[in-house]
Amino acid sequence: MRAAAAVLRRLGIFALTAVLASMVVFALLAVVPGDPAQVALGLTATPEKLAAARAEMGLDRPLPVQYLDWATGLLGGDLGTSAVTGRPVGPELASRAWVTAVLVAAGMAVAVLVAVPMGVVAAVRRRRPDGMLLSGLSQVGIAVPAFLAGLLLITVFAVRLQWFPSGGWTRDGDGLADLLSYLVLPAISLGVVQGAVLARYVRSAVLDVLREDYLRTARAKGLPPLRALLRHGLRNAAIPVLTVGGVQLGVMLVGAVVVEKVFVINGLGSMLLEKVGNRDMVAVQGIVTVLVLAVLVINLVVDLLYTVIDPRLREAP
Amino acid sequence: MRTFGASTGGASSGAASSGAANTTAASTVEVRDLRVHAGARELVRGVDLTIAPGERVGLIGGSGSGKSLTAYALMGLLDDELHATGSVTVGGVDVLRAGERTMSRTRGRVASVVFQEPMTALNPLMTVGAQVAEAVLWHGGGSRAAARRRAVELLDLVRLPDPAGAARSFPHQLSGGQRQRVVIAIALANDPALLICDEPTTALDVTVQARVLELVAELVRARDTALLFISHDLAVVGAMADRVAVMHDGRVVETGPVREVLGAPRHEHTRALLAASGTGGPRTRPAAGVGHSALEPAAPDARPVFLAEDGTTPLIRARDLRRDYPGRRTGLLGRSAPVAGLRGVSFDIAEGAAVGLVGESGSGKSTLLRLIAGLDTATAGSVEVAGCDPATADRAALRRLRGDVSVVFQDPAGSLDPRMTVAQIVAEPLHGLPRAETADRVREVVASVGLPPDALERHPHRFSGGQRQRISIARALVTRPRILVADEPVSALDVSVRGQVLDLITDLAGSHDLTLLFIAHDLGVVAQVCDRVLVLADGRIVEGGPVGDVYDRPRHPFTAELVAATPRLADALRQA
Repeated sequence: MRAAAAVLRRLGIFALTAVLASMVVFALLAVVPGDPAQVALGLTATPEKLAAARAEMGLDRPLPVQYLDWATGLLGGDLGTSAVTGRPVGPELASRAWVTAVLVAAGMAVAVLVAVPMGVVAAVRRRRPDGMLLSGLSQVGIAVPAFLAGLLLITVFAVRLQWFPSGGWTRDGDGLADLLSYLVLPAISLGVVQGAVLARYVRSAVLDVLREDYLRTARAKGLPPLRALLRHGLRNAAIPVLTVGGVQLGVMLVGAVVVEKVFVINGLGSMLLEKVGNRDMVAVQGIVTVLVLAVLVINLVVDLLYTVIDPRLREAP
Repeated sequence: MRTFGASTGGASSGAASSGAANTTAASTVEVRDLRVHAGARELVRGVDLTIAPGERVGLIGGSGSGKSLTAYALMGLLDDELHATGSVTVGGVDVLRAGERTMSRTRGRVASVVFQEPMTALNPLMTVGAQVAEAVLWHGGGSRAAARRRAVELLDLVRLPDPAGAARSFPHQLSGGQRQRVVIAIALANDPALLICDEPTTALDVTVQARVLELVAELVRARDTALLFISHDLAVVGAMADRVAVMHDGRVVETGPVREVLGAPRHEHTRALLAASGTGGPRTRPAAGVGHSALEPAAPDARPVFLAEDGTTPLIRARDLRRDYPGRRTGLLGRSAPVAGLRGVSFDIAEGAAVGLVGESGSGKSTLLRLIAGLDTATAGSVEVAGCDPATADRAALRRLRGDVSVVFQDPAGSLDPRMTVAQIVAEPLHGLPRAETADRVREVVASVGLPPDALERHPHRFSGGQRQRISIARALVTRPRILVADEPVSALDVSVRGQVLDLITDLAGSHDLTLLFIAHDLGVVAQVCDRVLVLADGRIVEGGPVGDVYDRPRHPFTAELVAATPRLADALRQA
């Protein structure tokens, strides 16, 4: 009962934040120089033509009206029409966002697969050579830029061994196997670096848990060290790691642009760069809004996961 | 009847002594020349200890004496960086040489341990029942459902109310005493031959402590479990053990029956421990035969407690003081009824009095402290401190009030900024004084708490617990307050230094004409420092008056219970 109320309250906060965020995004882009009518007509346009274009685009109306117009469109999935291309922003954005979502999800999966074992072993064996080696490796991993990892992977696995394509993405009609073959290298180059960062947090969370009294209680019951850690430690250690993982996921949505460039993938990040370069403000507005909403959804999911893991939060005040 | 050898490890069970030289086989615990090293440092320096089946042995010593390390060595649970040598046999298992496989079948089945801190001893993410069942499953096997049923039985055994409900709850839904009962249930799940208790009740309220100790004593006796009871509190050990071993600096310096060792100590360290522990305390128990029914009714006194003489103006005057905290959220927007921290207390305290504030955790002691120090405002009622009501005072008056009232907190390690020097810490409450005068005041007050002059430029981590509390006291006194509020100032300190710090507070209160408000859960400590006492229970003052009267002739059942629950060495020795 109380848990359900807590979830509802959290959803309410999410909705409120989403509305506020959309207002901020709209206001910021309204302030930024770059008149869509000017962009559409070019620098040679006469003032009369400009005014006519502005009226046609609805830019002469007061800002709150424009916001409401845009926001109601947003609710129906309409992100507006680009003044540069003359086409609606929505469909292109959707296909690009889908690419990035798949890439980031795969990258995160790689990161977790790397980070959890690496961090746990580095913590448990912190005084042994192998533990220290893993600790050192994760530091090296943090220092390697994703694009360098990508180039190395391409050189070895695409050019030399020819196991995977060196870049590109699936086209219509391709199967799951094709998608995976395109996905492997970019996901690894995105995930390994993030995994190295995450491993540091896993290590310190596990180190904290190892010092907890309840782990000593578990040992006193007779559980061997590793079993005690797996049964009583990992879920407790997951709480701080979840926080960092959520932040990383948000960062990766845009941060994936580097990997997208290296592997010639048309994702959200590269779309944002293109549209900023073209001064396509309607599209930029749409992309930023989608990114902000995605981050809010990630935070929401992380918050709800906390309550799944930790019974104390189910009855938070 | 058991016989106890006076020499180290000389105890033997009746069966064993009737046999030949082979006492080892019959002993539950046999420790020979145990040494524990941390690198080059020797922390335990050759301990010999024998515990016969069903025997109850107390292990006493100050912090750092090596008593906990000895217990960990018995369980084979020493940290990786510690190295143990010698021989430790528990229930026939050679602990120091056994592999992890053997030890994982020994721990929790042959020997179990209950640790000090019940609040953190249980996994917060797992139900209590699952954690008890785990101990059953690990050693006994059997089905999960059977283990769950057994867990409920065990929770019933340690007398948790509604054991089935308790099994489904998470640790945070239980109180400290209840959690310690759960830990005891886990420890006894497989009927071990040895139970080690490492300061199991130090973190609990006295009345809760009394009940938990009673439970342990009863269970251990009923199951003929050998007990190793570790504590710094001689009265508690005296009540729990047949035989005690006193540790100092990694060695057992004295061992023998409780009555001999604590009644007529031979080693100087034992004498020092005796002198330091609870020499004050309630002098006698309430007259025998006076049960609660014979006492006044349980309804708390609504009338103000006057600790000031008639006709004088009290320095602190509280009338019907209430403090409510918001209730927990219910539903989407609702909240349950407010939780009362203080339910209307009224009292007068005269200038220069030394008043003890006694009560269990949650009784409202700290809430009252915060109101008096102007750190919080009352929901209703009024408090007047040195003629100033913090609720209505303006900024200047509040600032004056904060100069008049100083607080010394419980944990000296946590209340000192580790990056500041002692001089900076002590000078911090002084505002707007010329630099030279500030330096003079700081030097003067640091000297008055008995710290050397070269302490000024050092950082807190260079000092021991007792010295850190002296720094806190110096910081409190530098503003030349009229009222000193001490919130459990010695409960985080080692027994051996408690006496010194209490003496210091008493001396300073006299020499600085301070009115002392002293919060403690330990009646003995209050008796050492205070002349008056206020007893709080559930947000109300249930009794107040001169210390001797309240302790010797408690009028309220709660006070009587508190007095009765306070462990006293004399009683322990009488029963031994």
